[in-house]
Amino acid sequence: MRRIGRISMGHSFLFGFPVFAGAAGYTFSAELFIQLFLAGCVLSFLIFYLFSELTGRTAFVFLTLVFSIFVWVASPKLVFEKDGYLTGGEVGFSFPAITQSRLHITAILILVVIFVLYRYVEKSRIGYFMQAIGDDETSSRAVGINLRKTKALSVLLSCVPAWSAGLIYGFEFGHISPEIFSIEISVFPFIASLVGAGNPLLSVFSSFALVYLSKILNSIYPGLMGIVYSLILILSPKIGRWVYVKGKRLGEKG
Amino acid sequence: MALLVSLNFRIGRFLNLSLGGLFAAGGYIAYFTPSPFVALIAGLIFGFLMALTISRICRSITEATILSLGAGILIERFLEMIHRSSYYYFVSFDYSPYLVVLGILAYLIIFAVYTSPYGLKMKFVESDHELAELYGVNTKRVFTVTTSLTSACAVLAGFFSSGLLAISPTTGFGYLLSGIMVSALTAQFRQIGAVHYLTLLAVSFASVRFLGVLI
Amino acid sequence: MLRADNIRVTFNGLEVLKGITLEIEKGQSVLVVGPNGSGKSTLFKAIMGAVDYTGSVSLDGMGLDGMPPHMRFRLGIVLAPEKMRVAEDLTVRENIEISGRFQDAVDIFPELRQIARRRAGILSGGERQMVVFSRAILSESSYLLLDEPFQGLSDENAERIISAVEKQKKKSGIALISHDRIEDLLEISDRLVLMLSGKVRKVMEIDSPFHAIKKLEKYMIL
Repeated sequence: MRRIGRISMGHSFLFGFPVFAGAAGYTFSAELFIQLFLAGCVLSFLIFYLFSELTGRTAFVFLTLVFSIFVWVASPKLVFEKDGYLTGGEVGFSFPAITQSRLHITAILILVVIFVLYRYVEKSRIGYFMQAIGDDETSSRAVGINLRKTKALSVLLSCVPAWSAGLIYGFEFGHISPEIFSIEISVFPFIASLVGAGNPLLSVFSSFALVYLSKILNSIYPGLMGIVYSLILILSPKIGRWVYVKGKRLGEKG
Repeated sequence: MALLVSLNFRIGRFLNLSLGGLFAAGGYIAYFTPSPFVALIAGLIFGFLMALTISRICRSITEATILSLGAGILIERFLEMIHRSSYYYFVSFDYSPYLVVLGILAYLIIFAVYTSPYGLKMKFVESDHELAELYGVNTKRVFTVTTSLTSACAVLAGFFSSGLLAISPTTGFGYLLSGIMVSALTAQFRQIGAVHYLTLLAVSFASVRFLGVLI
Repeated sequence: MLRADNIRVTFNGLEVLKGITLEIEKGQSVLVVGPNGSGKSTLFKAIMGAVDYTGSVSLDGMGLDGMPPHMRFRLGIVLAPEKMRVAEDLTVRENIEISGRFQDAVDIFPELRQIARRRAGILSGGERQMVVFSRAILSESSYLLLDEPFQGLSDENAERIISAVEKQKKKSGIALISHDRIEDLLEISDRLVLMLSGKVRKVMEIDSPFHAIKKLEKYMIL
């Protein structure tokens, strides 16, 4: 999404919503799990696409972040009664089980496919269109680039890895709670991109590094990684200006 | 909370996402040191330091907003780390009547500023920050004072609300979210100065009446 | 004297001003001309401290570098910015009263009385320009920088601006950027600065407006 000049700070919604919906459906049946997961994918794509159409660069950051916080705060309200038991709420829902070895192979395959897809799109005509929109939306429209189509594709490309990651996360832990929408998860892609110097491949490695660092630091003192995340965010304007797309300057009108 | 979000956004030109964390910090201060002065001083110092950091290293609204988000998470994580024996805290006193006093005081200050000779300058800052600076308004000072005072108010609001709440590090997020929504809704009226803040009050009451605080 | 010395400004790696020097003395009027993109407005913003620059700006020998715009304003440097910049949410009266008495603005442009309570954001181009000029001229300025003051104005109002500038010249040093009414402005200007591609191409003391126009035609400005 950065390519079309938008930074999303609410990726936890894309990451978490389809699996959360799917897990809610799994309470009733495996079919409903698949149906609600797919419906969650479509809905989350439509919402983010709508946001990218309705807002400018600066407002998009705010809207996605505020929206993800809203979902985080509101999701524990979802409670069902099944066979006389209450399920959902703060605890969340259970998720289908899958063997660990199969899961890891699937994860690596998805990663490779996404990486190849990204490289292909980046070098294609549509990739250049995305770059052009990121540089200047008005001029891109003037030279005949189909803004809607390009934006939609860019949002979709951003959604696919988030949905896949959410699914893998669900299978890994066998359980989905409202914490999947937490701020830490929302800002994780931004932090990984920052640590990965804005390079997509490096960002993948930095994601792994951050996850392992998180395990180490949190075992030293629970919550320590949260402090590291917050410090990275505080220092982000200084250490990683490349991640920020052109937005309104402080004090700029409007 | 809507008033604090609105003041920060209109005068400071950024969405202050640390206000939720500061609100929760107020609750913790009430639990550990039940003194409003500690809350006031802590809020002022935190707000001042954040304003200083934003002035020094941020160039855009987005950067300032993300910095404030980092600051909010830092507070929240810090609160979670300092005392982990139980997740929710409860205090035995109820300072909530002082919340009304704090609100009235905040509005009185706003009206005093906007009806003073400095009011027009503040309106200029709200409408066009850059133009205000070109016409002699020290926008950096206005930004620092606003951020410090709103941070202090957020901590005090958390402090005075503590008797009504199950205190946890994420206590403030619901309030922050409601504040952002009410603030965004009121901004649609395109008013400026004291009139805007009066409308904000009306919209806040209406939203609490019809929707309740999202928490 | 207001002096900008060897001013360089770079935006995103592109050097917009390449070592410009400009002097304005009290009681003097300097006309700055040049094609779009030559860096005229950026020069004024640099003098005001509204953009980052290298080089130096001084006022009566006192260095102003590192000083924010509001401090420069308080020292008497006033900029009427380009693009008819008004505080859009404020009324016409409020926009002007930041600088001085509204009645003084009405004395220059009587039309302002009818639109005093109108929100500046919905004004026409000409009305905005009246607000921008009034706000600048009513400020306690010792140096006045006017960026395209005639944009969108009727002939009658442009004449009013020229006579107001002439009056102001007795109290302040004035620098003007304009694409319009060059001939009229040469009548009241003491010096002409021609800028091209971020550099000063020519500085002319104006003895006769006719000769100045002839020289400018050589550079295909008119």
